Amino acid sequence: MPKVSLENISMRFGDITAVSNIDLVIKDGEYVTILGPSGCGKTTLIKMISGILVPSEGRVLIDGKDVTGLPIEDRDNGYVFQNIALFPHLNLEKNVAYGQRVRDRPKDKQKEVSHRYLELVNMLDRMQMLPGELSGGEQQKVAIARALASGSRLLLLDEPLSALDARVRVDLRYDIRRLVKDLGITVIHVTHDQEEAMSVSDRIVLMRNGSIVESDAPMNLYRSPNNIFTAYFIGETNLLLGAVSRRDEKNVYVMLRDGSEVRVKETPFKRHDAVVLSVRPEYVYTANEGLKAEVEEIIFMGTYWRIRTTAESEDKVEYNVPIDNDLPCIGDVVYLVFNRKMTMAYERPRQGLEEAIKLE
Amino acid sequence: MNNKRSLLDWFSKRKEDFVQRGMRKHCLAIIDSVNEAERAISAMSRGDPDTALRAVDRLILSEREADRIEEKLVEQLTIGDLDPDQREDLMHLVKKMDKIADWAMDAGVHVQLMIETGIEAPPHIWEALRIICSELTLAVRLLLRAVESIGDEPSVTLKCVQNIKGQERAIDEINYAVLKKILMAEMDFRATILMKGMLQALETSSDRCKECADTIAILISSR
Repeated sequence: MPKVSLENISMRFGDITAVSNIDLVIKDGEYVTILGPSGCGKTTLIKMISGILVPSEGRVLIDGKDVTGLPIEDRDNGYVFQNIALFPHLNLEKNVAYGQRVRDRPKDKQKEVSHRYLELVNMLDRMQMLPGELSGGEQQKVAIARALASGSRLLLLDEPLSALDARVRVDLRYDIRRLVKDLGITVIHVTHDQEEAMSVSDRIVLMRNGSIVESDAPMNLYRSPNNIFTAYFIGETNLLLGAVSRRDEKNVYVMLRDGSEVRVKETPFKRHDAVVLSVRPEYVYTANEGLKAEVEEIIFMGTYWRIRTTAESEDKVEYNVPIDNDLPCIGDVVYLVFNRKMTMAYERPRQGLEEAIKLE
Repeated sequence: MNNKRSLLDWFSKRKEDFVQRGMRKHCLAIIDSVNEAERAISAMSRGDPDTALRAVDRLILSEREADRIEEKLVEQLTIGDLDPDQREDLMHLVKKMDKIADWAMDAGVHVQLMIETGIEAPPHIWEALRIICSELTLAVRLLLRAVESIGDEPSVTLKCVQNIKGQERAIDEINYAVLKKILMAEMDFRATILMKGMLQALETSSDRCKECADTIAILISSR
């Protein structure tokens, strides 16, 4: 069973550093998603793990064995590309059997393995069809079956669902998760889609500008991120600038632009420290008193309503209303309160908030 | 299509990504700068230099944020289908807006100098400067309203412009009285220089705010 260790790896293309000094250990059987905005270096990272690229510095170890310079064909990895790379002239059975064939396994063994993995992805009944006769989602299922059928215990998925329709994407991501957990294999999945990462991973590694920002279980990254960028990138959040105005035994208070105060989750910041508050829309409620705000927009989100307001502090604050509840009208004044335990305070970034949350 | 129409259309089209996000954020950073200047001066009027210094720290953060947003806004202005003269007018607006924060920071620097040199000024002078700063905050908030409404509600924008001009006149009037207070107060000559410098910084900030209002009025009415 493979355990993957990356030791201080970097990748440079001329003057550009795509990945910088990354240390990461992926446990045996773990489903890890590398998440980040476009251009953050996540694909470069997975290519270094797979052997498509050789790192400029550092080592890649699989099960303790240094494979840094080992060519891709000598590694035991399954790799699924974004742009569904099936052999168009081979039927599904032969596509999936390909890994066995290049290893010169007996023909009956090739067939048996191909059938087993096509069965796993519910495509066995179409094994005689050519890839061009399938939908995008079905082709990607076959690509995954082919990667698994190679016998690898490490599956590398490079944006495997990006080219598919939204509905197919949702179905297929659960299929992948079920499949790899049944087989107990280690998965490294690259995506820029935070919802996809949240729903399939044991752990998310969030990258930005070639470095790891934060790495933790999806729930922890969502509920209590350590970094303002994580709070902004994973899920949706309201960001408000303020300064710690006072603290007592139980509470820490932050003063907003208009002088109003909100209570926040326990934080080490001292009085007068400049902070940025992050509170997700689902933890903002209306009450009889609180932060005064005017309703600007009401958006139907399917299972709830999203209310957009401008607070007296001039911050844009969004909150949710359950689908069956009464809605405010545009222009109404509401009073907003934040769930204290879910209102996180972060140090106000020296480089500026805009820069700290910039996606490019 | 005449110039006036095309510029307003441009604002409406780009409202989501430019006016609402870029110029609004710039305005907020400016409000934050002026707010922190007010907090610093207010703390000094209460005899609390530690709190004042922390407010100056935050003022510097906000002013730098305003500078960064200004740079991005100017970059943004080079994109799109604006005529050169329209582009130039908007760039002037953005640059003038940034000057409000620059002068607020100048006032903050004077506060810091007062603290670091250990020079004292009577509380009533600080309080008079705080009042000016408070009026300036209101003017900048009106500027935010004006900017928010440029593309959609020119009448609201013009009303805000008028109110900003009113605020500037009010500050001018207070300015004379405060200058007199500074000159008549019993204090070290160095304090007189610094307090006068602070007053001038706040007054100039208010003038820049009014100039922004004028530019907005020109953008809307005169084309």
